Amino acid sequence: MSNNVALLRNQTGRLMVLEICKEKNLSIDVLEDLIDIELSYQGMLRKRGIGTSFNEVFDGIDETEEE
Amino acid sequence: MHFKFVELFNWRSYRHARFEFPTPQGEKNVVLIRAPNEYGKTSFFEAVTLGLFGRLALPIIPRVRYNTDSDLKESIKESYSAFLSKTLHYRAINGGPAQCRVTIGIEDDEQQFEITRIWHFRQSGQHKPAEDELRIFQGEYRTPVTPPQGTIDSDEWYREWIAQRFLSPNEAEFFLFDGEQVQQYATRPKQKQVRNGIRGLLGLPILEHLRSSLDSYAQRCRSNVRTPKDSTINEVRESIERLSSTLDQLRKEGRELDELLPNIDSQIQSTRRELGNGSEATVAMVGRLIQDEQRHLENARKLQEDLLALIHGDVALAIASASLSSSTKEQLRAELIRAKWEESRDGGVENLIKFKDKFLEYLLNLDPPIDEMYHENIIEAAETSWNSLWYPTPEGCAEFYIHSSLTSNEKSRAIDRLDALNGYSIQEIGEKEYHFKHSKEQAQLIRKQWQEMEAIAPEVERLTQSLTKLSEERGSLQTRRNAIEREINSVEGDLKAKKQEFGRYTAQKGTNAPELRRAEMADEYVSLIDRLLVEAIPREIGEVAKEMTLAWKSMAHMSDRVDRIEITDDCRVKMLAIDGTDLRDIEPSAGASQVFTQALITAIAKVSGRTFPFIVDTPLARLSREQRLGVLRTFTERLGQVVLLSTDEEVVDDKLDAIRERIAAAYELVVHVDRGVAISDVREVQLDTL
Repeated sequence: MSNNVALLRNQTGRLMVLEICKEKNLSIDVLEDLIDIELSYQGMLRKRGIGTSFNEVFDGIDETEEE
Repeated sequence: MHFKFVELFNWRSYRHARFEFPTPQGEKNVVLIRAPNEYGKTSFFEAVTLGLFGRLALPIIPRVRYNTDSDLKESIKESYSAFLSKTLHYRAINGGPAQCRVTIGIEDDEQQFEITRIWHFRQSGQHKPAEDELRIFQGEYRTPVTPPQGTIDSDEWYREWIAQRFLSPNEAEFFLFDGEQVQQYATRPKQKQVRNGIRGLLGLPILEHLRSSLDSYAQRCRSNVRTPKDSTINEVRESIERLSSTLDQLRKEGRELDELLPNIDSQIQSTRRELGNGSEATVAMVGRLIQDEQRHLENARKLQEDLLALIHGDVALAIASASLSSSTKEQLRAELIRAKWEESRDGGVENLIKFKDKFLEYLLNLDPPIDEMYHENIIEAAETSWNSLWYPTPEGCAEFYIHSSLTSNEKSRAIDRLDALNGYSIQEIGEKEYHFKHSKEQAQLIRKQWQEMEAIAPEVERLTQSLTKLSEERGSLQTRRNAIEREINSVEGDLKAKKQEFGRYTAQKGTNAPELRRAEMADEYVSLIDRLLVEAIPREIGEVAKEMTLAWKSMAHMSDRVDRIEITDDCRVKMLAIDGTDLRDIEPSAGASQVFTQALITAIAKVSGRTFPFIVDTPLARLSREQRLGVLRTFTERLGQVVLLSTDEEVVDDKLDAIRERIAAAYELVVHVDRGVAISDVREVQLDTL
C-alpha cells in the first residue's frame, strides 16, 4: 500500500504526516487510500483490494462520521 | 525488489548473454561480477540503465557525449542515437539481425515483471530512433502492460509507469552509478541534487499528482451542483475552473523544466570537462610554444647582427690564421719599440754636439794645459762613451722596419684591432653561424607545432560557443522556472479566495449536496498535501544528514576528523569538525570526494526506504585501502540487492573476505575471439572457489 510514497513509510515522515493530519482533523488512512487510488488510476498498482474511487472514499468518511 | 535476470542480445561486445540473479535471502544480497577492464562490465551497466530508463538515463551514462550544437531536446535525442549507434555488435552489423535487445527481469512484492527494450539499426549500424520498442510484461502469465485506451503520449505513460512502479530516472543516480565517475557528481551543484533526490525518493511527485487529481475532482464535483439561475455562482465556478486549469498547466511546465534542468546541467558539465581536459591545456601549450619560438628567433637575430657586423668590419682579418695575426702584432710592437728607441737616440745626438763644444771649451782652459795634439783623441773617447749609452738596443726592438709606411699611432691602432679579433677565430665564427642556423630551424619547427595545435582551435571555439549557448539556455530556463513558481503562488492565492467565495455562496443557498461535500473534502486533502509538500524536505534532511554521518564514518579512513554532517534547509551539505569548521572546503582528495558522494547516495537511498537494487560499476576506483573496506561494507550492508561490477583487482583478498558472507552469486566475464571479433560472455563462478 502506498509503497512508493516513502514519506508515509519511514518513521520521521509518518510521524510528521500524522501530526499534520491530527492538526487538520484529517485521516492518514484516507490519505493512503487516496494515494492508492491515484496509483491505480495511473495503471501502476494491482487493482485488487481497494480499487475504489475518490467518491467511495469520501462517501465512506461521511458514513463513518454519521455512524 | 530485486533483479531476477538480465539478458543481452547484440549489445556491444555481447552477442548473447544471460545473467541469472538469485533472490536475496537474509544477508546474502550481493551479486559479484568480476572482469578485467574492457571485458564488458560498463557495457552491462549501460545496458541495465538504458534498458530501464531509455534516453532519460543519459545523464548517468558516463560514456555519453552530448552534441552541444543542437537545442536541448534535440541534443538529448541526437546524443542518445549517437551513443546507441556504437552498441550494435559487429557480427549483427554484418550478419544481422540489425537490432539489439536488453531484457530485465524484476521481482517485486512476489510479482514478476519483464522490461524489454529493442533498438533497431540500419545495416551500417546507425540507430533508427523512430523504431525503438518497449515491452513490459507483468505476472506469471506475462500479461502485457499497456497504456489505457485514449493515451496520447504512450512514451510519457510508460515513463511514468516505470517511475512510479520502480524508480524515476531522476532518482536513478542514487542506485546506479559508476565509481570512477562518481567524481562528476561531486562537482555538480549539490543543493539541487540533494533536494531532487530527497523529493523523488520520498515519493513527493506522487503526492503532487494526487493533489492535481483531487483538485480536478473537486472541480468536477462543483460542476455537478446545478444552480443555473445563479449567475454569480456560475461566474465564481468558472473562475475556479480557469484558475485550476492555469495552475495545472503551470505545474506541468514546472515539472518539465525540473526534468530539463538536470539534463542541461549534465551537458554543461560534460562540455566543461571537454574544455578543461583538452582545450585549456592546448591553449596553454600553444602559448608556451609561441614563447619558445620567439626566444629562438631573438637568439637568431642577435647572432645574425654579430655576423653582419663582422662582414661589414674585419671579417677578412678575422678569418685569417691566428699565427699570422700574432706575428703581425709582434712585428708592429717591435717596430714601435724601435721607433721609441730611435727617437731617444736621435734626441741624444743633438745633446752630444752641445756636449762636445762645452767639453772642448773646458779642455782649452785646463791648467796646466793638455797638449793640443791629444785633444782630438780625448773628444773622440768621450763621444764613443756617449754613443755606447744607446747600445745594445732595448729588448723586443725590431732590427728593421717592415711597416715603414705606418706611423706609430697607426701601428698602435692596428695592434688594437688585431687584439679585438681574438674572440672571432674562424672556428668561433663557424659556431656562430651554426647557432644562428639552429635557432632559425628550431623557431620554424616550433612554429609548425603550434600552428598544428592551433588547427584544433576551432574545436575549442565551438565548445566555448556551445558552453555559452548552454549557459544562456540554462539561465533562461531557470528564469522561467522561477517565474512559474511566482505565478503558481499568485494563482494559488486567487484560487483559494475564489473557493472561499464559492463556499459562502453555496452555504447561503443552504445547499448541502453530496457533491459539494466531496469537493470540500477533496479541498481539505489538497490543503493537507500542500502542507506536506512544503514541510517534508526540511523534516527529512535531518534523517539524511544522520545517515550520511554514519555512512561517512564507516567509509572514510579519516573519519575521526568529522564530528557530524549537516544539511541546511536549502539542502547545502556541510561536513563539520568538532570546532564547526566545514571540512568540505579543505578536503580536496579524489578519494574523499568519492566517499562523500557515495555517503550521500547511501544516505538518501536508505532514508527513502526503497529496496531498489544498487548497481555499482568499479566501486573502489580512487579509494585508499581503508576506504575500500569501509565502502564495500557500507554498500553491501543494506536491505536489498547489490550488484558489484568489479575489476579483477578490486574485490579480492581482504576486500573479498570483507563481503564474502554476503555474496549470493558470482560471475566472471570472459572474452573469446571468433574470426577476429571479440565476444563477451558470462560464466558463473562457484562461491567456494572464490
